[in-house]
Amino acid sequence: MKTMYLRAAVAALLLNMAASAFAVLGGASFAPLAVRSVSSSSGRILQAGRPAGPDGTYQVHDVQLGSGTTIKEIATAQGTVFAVTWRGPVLPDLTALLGEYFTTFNQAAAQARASGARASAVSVNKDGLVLRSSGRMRAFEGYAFAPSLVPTGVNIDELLQ
Amino acid sequence: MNFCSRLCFPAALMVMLGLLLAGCGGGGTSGAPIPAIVPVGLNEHRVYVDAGPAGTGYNANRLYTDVTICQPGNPANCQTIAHVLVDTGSTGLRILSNLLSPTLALRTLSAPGGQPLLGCVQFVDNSFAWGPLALADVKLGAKAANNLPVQLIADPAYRNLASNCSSGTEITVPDTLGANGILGIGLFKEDCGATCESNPLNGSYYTCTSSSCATARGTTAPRNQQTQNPIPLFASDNNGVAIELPAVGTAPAPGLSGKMVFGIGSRPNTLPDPGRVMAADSRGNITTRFEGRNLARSFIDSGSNGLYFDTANLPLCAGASGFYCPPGLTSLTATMIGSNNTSIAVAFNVDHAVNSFAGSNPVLPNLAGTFGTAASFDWGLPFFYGRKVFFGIEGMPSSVGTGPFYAF
Repeated sequence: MKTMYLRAAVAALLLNMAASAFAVLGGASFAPLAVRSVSSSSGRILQAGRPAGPDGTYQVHDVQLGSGTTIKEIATAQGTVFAVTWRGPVLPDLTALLGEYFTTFNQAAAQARASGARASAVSVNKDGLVLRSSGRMRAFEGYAFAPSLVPTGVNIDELLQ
Repeated sequence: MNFCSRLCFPAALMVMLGLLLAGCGGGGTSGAPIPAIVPVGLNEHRVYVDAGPAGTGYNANRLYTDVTICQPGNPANCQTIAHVLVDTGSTGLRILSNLLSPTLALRTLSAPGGQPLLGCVQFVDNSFAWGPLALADVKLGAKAANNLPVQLIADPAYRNLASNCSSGTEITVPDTLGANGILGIGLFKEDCGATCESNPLNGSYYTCTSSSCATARGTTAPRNQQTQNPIPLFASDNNGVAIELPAVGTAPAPGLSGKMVFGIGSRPNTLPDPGRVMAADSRGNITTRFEGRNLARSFIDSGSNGLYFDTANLPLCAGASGFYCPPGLTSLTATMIGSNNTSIAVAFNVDHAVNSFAGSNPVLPNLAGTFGTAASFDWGLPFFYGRKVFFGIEGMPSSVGTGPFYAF
């Protein structure tokens, strides 16, 4: 029953969000994740204390996955996701979340392992991707953003906290 | 370990910077051997830091133990696996399946649908371990956890992986793990808990959709079939564990030997100072106050190979490895605060990580790096050196309170 309800909720949201930006990093297509719920906000001031671009140009979508992990997607007014964060008991499917940037992340993680860093936190800052993944069992957290896509005037460091 | 959170191996850095260091004598020379803490009681079992399993490269600050695995009900049919990582940051025993003798004939557990129960455990670098759950009688010294669900990592009979758990690199050999398995003995009883009893989309448990096991789907898993902390299954001394390691000083060292002590308040060797018990929240977190900020998602994790926290006051090493490289030994303090408001000040040292790595010593007492999100302080293995750190298991009463708690 729960699953059916959730699917219905997602379908409704997808209809409402046709012109908005629930998407993979750098893209504007729906991320194929097992979504439990989505709540969106947009406008000049999204959350108290959070900086907006000079003309208020970004949107935030808070997504809860079926696994209980929450994702925040931060997009330009035009709908391009420039940052994502995740937090929860398991990792989200990072191929779905990072889109074309997954290859960069995967190569960096493989490189770290090849040099001896096994199952360890990952920091990436190359090929247009900044990413950090850390945490432990039951408590993963991380973020990724594409610096070239961040709107002028947005303080990305504050936005990711 | 992020789960086993952060196991960081600096081999590449060593190679890159070895020439620079060759002329300056940096690189951490080893002092006198560290006196061993030897297990003596019936509730004690040896742990050690050394170079790790053969052929797995440089392993720094990794705490290992030997685990004996027996066919359920058959104490004559056992195998002891060395170099199993002792990880208070995760829960449950996971062993690389190709290290286990087929003669153990461990029986695979079934999911509620009747097909085999499969586990997927993820690490923060998106690597993962996939494999079935099987029952084993597990011994840690004189203590036995019978019919313990154990994950058999990379069992060749179950190779159809769930896509949403397997986008990263799969752990299939000791070299990927720097260990032969993981013994998760933290604050929790199961790796997942209540969520996985009701939610088939939990991301941790899967089952086959048919007897051929050609595809996998998410499944619920009863708590008593989830990968779990063996300690609550002991007949006694079963409400927690202490890890006691010798003092190291400030120089890197080639190895050390200490012990795990099972039980809290049950024997003279299991008594923490009641005034130094810090209650943890439901996720195992306490607060660390550091540089004027309260880091509310802090934890103590033997599976982390360094102290991980964020500060602008320590320079990062060149090469973006995430480690700190202050010019010399730097002394800092922080305060741990439990949810019961017990607070304990902790002094710690951070040294130049690249110089520390240069001697290839397994024991690096001053290794630290960034956590990456500014709300956590991960007290990894260097914190354990010279301490006896207690872990009170969730829901288990003891003379100093009911877990989850940390004490030292």
